[in-house]
Amino acid sequence: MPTVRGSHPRPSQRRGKVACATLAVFLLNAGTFAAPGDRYSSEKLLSDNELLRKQLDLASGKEFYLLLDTARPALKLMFEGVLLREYEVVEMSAGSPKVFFFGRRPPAGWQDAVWEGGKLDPLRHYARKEIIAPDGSKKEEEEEEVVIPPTPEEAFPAPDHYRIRFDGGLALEILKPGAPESAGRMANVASALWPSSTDRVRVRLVLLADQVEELYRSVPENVRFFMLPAAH
Amino acid sequence: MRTSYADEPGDARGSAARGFPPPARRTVLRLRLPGGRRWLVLLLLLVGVVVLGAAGTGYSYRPLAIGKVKAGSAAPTTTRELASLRQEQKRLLAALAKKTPRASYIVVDRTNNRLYVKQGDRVLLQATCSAGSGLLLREPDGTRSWIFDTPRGSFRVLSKTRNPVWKKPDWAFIEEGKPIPSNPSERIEYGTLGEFALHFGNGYMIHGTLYERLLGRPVTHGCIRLGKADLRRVYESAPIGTPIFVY
Repeated sequence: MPTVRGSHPRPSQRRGKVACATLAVFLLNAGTFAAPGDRYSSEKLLSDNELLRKQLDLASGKEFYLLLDTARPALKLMFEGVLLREYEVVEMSAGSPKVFFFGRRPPAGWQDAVWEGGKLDPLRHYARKEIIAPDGSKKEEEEEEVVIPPTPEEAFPAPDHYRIRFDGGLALEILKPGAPESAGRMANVASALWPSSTDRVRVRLVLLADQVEELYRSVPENVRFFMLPAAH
Repeated sequence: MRTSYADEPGDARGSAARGFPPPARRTVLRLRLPGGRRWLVLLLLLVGVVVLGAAGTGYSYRPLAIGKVKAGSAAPTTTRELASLRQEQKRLLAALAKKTPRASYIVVDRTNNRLYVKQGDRVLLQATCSAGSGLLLREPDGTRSWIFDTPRGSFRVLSKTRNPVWKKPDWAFIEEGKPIPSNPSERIEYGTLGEFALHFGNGYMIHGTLYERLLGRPVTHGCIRLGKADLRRVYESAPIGTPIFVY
């Protein structure tokens, strides 16, 4: 009987075609999937990009912000992405409230958040002086009393220890080296117990003495705050 | 003091007689104190609890360790996604770098009365200056008022002048109780502003002063005053367009 050729490939030919097709698909996608070792770098990339995005958001805003660079460590006063002033951090620690030896957890994600609405405690009191201009009837010969305004140190005496409180429960504690760690033991106890006044987390920074005073006098109202991780 | 349940007459013997095991010996301590002292002991106990509680209440501190910032999405698994992330990082870094002036810029701390010329992290010059006094001046009839603050924010050097001449505004006459001149030439005053002036908008300038002994105090009407030597250095190092930041 004659053999019919052409329309039906033989099994061996079919297997060959399948093998070629499989090889082609494999070669096309060979570089597509990330190697296992890339997983670490991809997670780091995601994390780093998120960090950069937050810094860019802060730099694009119209508010002053404090950036805690934990790698240096330094506290930086920034505006529109520009470094205005850098304060050397001698020590830094983070505290959370405890009641009868049981600690309360700080808010989740507090280290990654941008904190807003920073206000000094104690407040920096500034009373604007008002003067009514003389009415022109003053004689030329009359001597004017020259009032020399006080220096910033005299006008705004800075405490050794103060806080900048942000909305949401974070407080930045600024201390001089050697300053007593708490403003008052009972005040700390009350703060830990009273829900409305509790700092959910305190970031304590010890700065150089003159810089503690300088920051107290010049920190803008409603300053924002963000922390940069050590490895960034 | 009663010490033994078995002291009760007949109890143990009674239990044994009925076939039950005798009750366990129990020692009962009863403090016999005069009435007032019982309260004293309770009070002392209460005080002890409060003191102990206070000792254990407050804030506990640990060294600060900041971990990685948590990213919103899951880690990518394809090389295309990785490449996209790297591209995004480059874009973000470039956008951030654009914000920082490449050349020098001026920073004024108006509360501490300090002026800095900076370039990146470096401080090229630190000078004592005088910023706005913050005074509020009202006309006698109350129609107009002025606040002598140095404005906060970002500015640029718009122009520079050698041997600037001061064209006195209305408040300069009002605060001295003098009539406002109708002749513009009567507003001109020479030598008051020092050797140089850098203008940064709305009449505000960085200029010199006749009263260098008052530097470090907030005495101006909003401008920034510098001593002669520092003013020259700032003038020479800050071209037109130099950013100025005031906080």
